[in-house]
Amino acid sequence: MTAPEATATSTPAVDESILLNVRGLKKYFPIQKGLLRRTVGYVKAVDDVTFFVREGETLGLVGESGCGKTTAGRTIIRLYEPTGGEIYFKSTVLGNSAPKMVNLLELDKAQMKLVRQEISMIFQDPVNSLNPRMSVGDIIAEPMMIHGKYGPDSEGVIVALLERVGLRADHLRRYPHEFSGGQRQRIGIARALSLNPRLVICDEPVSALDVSIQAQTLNLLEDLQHDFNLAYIFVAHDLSVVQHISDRVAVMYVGKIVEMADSEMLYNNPLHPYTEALLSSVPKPDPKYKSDRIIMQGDVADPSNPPSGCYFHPRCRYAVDLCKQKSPEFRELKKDHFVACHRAEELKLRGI
Amino acid sequence: MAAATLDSSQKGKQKQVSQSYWSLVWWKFRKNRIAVIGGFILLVMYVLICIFAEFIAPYDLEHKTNYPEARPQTIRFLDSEGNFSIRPFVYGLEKKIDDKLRKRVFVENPQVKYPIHFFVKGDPYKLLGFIPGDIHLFGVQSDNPEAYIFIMGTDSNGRDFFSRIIFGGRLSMLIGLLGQFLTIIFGSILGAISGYYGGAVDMFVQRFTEFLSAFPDIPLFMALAAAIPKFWSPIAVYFMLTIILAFVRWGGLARQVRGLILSLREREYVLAARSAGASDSRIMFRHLLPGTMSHVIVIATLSIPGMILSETALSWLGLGLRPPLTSWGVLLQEAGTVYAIRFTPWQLWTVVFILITIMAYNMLGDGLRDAMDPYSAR
Repeated sequence: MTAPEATATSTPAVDESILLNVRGLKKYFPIQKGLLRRTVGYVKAVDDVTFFVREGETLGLVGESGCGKTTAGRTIIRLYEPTGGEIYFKSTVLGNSAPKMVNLLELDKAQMKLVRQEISMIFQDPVNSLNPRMSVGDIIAEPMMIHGKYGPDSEGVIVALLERVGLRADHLRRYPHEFSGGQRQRIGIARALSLNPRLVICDEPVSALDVSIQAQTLNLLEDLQHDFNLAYIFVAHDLSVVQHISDRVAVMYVGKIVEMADSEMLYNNPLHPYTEALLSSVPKPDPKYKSDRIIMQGDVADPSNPPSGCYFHPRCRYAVDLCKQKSPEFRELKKDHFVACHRAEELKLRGI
Repeated sequence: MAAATLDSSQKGKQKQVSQSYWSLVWWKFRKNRIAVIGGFILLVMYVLICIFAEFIAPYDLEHKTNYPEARPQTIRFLDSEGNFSIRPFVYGLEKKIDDKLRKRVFVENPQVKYPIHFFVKGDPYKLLGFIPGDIHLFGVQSDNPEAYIFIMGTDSNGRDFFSRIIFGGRLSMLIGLLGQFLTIIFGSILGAISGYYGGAVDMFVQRFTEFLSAFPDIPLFMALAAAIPKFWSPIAVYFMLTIILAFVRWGGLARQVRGLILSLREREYVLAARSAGASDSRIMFRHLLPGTMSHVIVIATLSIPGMILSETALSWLGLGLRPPLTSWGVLLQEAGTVYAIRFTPWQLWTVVFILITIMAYNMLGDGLRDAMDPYSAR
């Protein structure tokens, strides 16, 4: 558990450029058993997560499968109702065009709907994320229709958007099954941009694509970020992809963020043993390179029954007794470099 | 502005290359010969029987003649002397007493020929209830008012059986369609609510459908049918019966829709709509229900025969429609005695019509089931 002071230190409250500030976010899924559906426990998918995103920057959120990164992304936009925490977002819509920090969890339904214009999502699966019964034009127009912004010139806007993401105007009346995976993901991106959002939550947008298409899509996302001054939360499990696109990176392990820093800092000088192990698994395009991977022992901890102390201690090469007993604080060890490890000061860890 | 560049010629071209889900379904369906035949038979039957019954049937439903229990007349081209005539004709009927059976019978009289004409004047009717007419598809023309054509014989009141089958089919075939329509509405709405909201609503709907499906069909029908007041008009009874049939049968469909909704609501496109702020009803009607429709249509098509058979069975048991309403079930009930089978076996022609309808529905339903998944190989 992160101590409250640590949470406070991790948020430079005066920083004007912060667009999204998530503090102590929790999402527990109840485990129900038996005929009466009694709650016998919780899966702590997101457990006290604190991070922030500045305007126009990309925050990479990485971790193994099941570490809660997707849940964290979906909880921010309240696709799942959070169990606890605060999500501050600098909303222009609610502030009557003067940006205003609002806590998304305190908004009522109507206000939240307004904010949804400013935050959108790109999904992982290009097959599942587009309704097969709707034409491309209808898919991209849907957010506009939901917010009553679809007018006579909207079709022109949509066509421009289609061309901007690398599709053609005559794709407007086609259906998703007529496109390849990469093209479908572009449709998903166009849909996410149709209301001019400020923040886009990209939930593993390239992991279902093959490698050459991944690069194209990443470049497209970067171009769009420049053109529209977008901030991204980029959820991924592939560190090389994240390195390519992110300004800053947060590493998650079993529902908690264990390390967050500028991506260069994090890749060169990791402070958490888990980050080190992840980095050692990044493949290098050098045939002479002798692989020196850190093979982690055991499995990812069960989020419904996590180990005592630091969740990572059963798999950690550097674990000491303290790690089994006490949960480490998430603290700012160097400027803008946050870590949750008891031994962060003493360890010399290997980066890339 | 770029939309303006989409001129009409371009739009025409797009139509050619782009296929919506339903055009793919149609494409695949067309390739299935048997299903197309089934669909065609049904289309023809519904048009002829439900819309043009008065025109197709040579006589009115209640047209009583002096020829009770007459056997079907043979349509002939050759008369007893071997003369060929291009126009088909039937022999007139003559009353005789069968001494052995001590019974009055009608036999064909080769002395009297009635040529068959198309589009003859006959009993007046109102098509669809408002278009008056008196032209029938076929019939005999003669100065003799006792000239009749009974291609499927007559019943004990001397009414033309072919006409009665046609009119009876109207009620039987429509009850399947109407009842199934109600089933789809009950079933898909309740299934969708149950699957989408989950929790207590889901629990209640599911237990209720289990209760309904655990209940034995026939006693339930009997109880409900018995509850229809005797003094109701036949039309009210008919609609009540339709509602009863739909009420008993929506459970299965509701469960299937619920299952589909459960899987669809976790699709990322639904999440995408929700993340954009779509309302529950928008998600339900734009994203979830359209995704279940193909399945619902298949299930509905395949269960219309069950609906028609239920009506037939109920009416046969005397619990469904009652005379003067005429349905296939009512006709079968009249034929359901040893006497009828011994002396007027032509009353079983009804069965042939029921069989054709049900076969056609099954053929169509099978084809639809394959076509509804156009993305699969094959």
